[in-house]
Amino acid sequence: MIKNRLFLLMTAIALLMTVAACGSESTRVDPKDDEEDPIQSSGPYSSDLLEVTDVIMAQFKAERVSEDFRDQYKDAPIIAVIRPLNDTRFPNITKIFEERLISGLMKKTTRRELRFVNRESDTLDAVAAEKAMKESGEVTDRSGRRTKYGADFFLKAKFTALSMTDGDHSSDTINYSFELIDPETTEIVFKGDHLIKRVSEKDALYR
Amino acid sequence: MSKTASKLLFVVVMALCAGCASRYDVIAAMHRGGYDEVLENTENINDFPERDRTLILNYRAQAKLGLGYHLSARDDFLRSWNIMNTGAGGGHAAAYVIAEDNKYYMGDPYERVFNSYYLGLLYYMLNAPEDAMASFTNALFADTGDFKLNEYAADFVPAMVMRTRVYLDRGAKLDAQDQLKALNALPKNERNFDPACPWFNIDDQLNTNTLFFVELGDGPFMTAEGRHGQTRVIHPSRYPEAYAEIYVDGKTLGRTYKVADSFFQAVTRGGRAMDEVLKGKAIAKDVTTVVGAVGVGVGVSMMENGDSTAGAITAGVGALVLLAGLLLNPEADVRSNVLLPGEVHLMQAQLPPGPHDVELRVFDKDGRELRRMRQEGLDLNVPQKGDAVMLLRSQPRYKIPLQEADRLADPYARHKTIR
Repeated sequence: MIKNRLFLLMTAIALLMTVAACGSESTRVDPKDDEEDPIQSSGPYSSDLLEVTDVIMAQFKAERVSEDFRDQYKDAPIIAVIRPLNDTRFPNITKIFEERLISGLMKKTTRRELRFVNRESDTLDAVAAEKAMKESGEVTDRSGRRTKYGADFFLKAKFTALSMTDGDHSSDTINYSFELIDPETTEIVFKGDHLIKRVSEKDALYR
Repeated sequence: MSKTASKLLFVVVMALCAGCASRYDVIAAMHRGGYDEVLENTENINDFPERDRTLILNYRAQAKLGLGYHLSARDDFLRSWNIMNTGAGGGHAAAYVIAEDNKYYMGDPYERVFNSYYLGLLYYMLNAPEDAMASFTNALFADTGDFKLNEYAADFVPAMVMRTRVYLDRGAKLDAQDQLKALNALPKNERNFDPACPWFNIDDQLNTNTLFFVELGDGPFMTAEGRHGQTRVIHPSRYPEAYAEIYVDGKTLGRTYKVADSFFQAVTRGGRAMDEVLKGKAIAKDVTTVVGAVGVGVGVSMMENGDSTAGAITAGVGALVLLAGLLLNPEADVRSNVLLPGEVHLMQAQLPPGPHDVELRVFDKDGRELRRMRQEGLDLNVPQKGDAVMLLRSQPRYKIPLQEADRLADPYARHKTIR
């Protein structure tokens, strides 16, 4: 009897240990909420990118860049976003940051306040090909416009990081800096940054 | 033992056996059908145990890279990068109590270095230099044990060379010089890289636009040694390749220089915390097995001598300890990415923009050509602006995508079409 009970207890423990390693599930979580994220990384979270782009947009508004430009030139300034420089150890954040920044600025402003030009090389190649087809008469050309818009300002971002580890922990301090540059004079119209530090611990299994 | 207990024993044994299911033998797959076989075998990652999926993803990425599907390979390297560098792993309890290979594979530091390096190269070749920069930076981070103590400072040269190239792509010459300074400050250890490599200076970096990374031989492999297999031993593979020579349009550019050695990278970052746990488990296994067996024996003797209650308890506790000892598996986890190369060699050159015909010749340490490894008629297109990067391997050789569409193609869609 005792042997059987002990055996049943051992059986239950062994089964629990085996079952514990099984199964997976997917849950939709709020990208602004770190606490819901089961991943405990020291790298950038989606909430960090949202936070940084919000900071840039707030500074854009606070600096009255659009108002000042329109007062002087009676037209909205044209912004070109330069490829962000990524000196962190985390790939794949440059594109999401750039996309989020442009779409965020466009959502919060109208074309009368800010205008944007696309300077991505694949877009420029497609534009050049389209213009060539219009020139040759291969396709229609309804507006007759030929000149691409020049940028009144460059918006440039750079991510730098101090990444450290002692084997047990990893820490990443990422500085998201950004500046608005006048491409004619190279004047920095405004510059800001936002620092986020995260620390994570590694299990001894993976040290 | 009652029937119920017997049935449960069977279930437990089956469950534990399921946990010890045979591993995917990628070396056998490579012998059977090369990268095509690995690509086909690994189409559905969910067919593999969760704990092995990151390793399988690395195998699949390597197969796609070897077949010239660069975009798809990059996606797999990135998926595994995310798990290896930001994940917490899994299967911890089972790894501590049962066997270490129940934990989710996350790769040793040198495997994380190579994962980041390949990811960076593919980003660079696919015109995403900033993501490439981050990947190469992480390769150096993964190669660094303790920044505070400056222990195991990163010494993976290919990542340093490529960071230099990204700095130059940005127009940041001073940063490129700083990176080269760090590279030149590394110990001149020929086991790690060839100090005679002539391109570690800013003038040569500024005056070259083409990089050939040539991979030679097979990477290290691991075995479990010791009474209970509790000691993990990393072995170098043996291969005849010593260096290569590259010809472009029929003219030699000269010999390649070693810039990385995967065995050196695998064994030069200190011990593992897990090694102490495994030693403890090996001792505990011996003790619990002996104590449990003695307990059962004593209990049975007591019952035979009329002391049935005390005897049953003693035998029961003994059986419990014995079972714990039998379940305790101190064997070291020897899973590793065995598709990695033994060495990485570099050749840099300044070539005119446009198409070129490349030939690779591989030599042994005595300067004799390994004729079966010669690769001819490789297409290289040097762009007007920026770098051309060509990734070659002595064997199993990498396919070079003929057109941009091949580089970006979905390998499974294409393979199904061919079938």
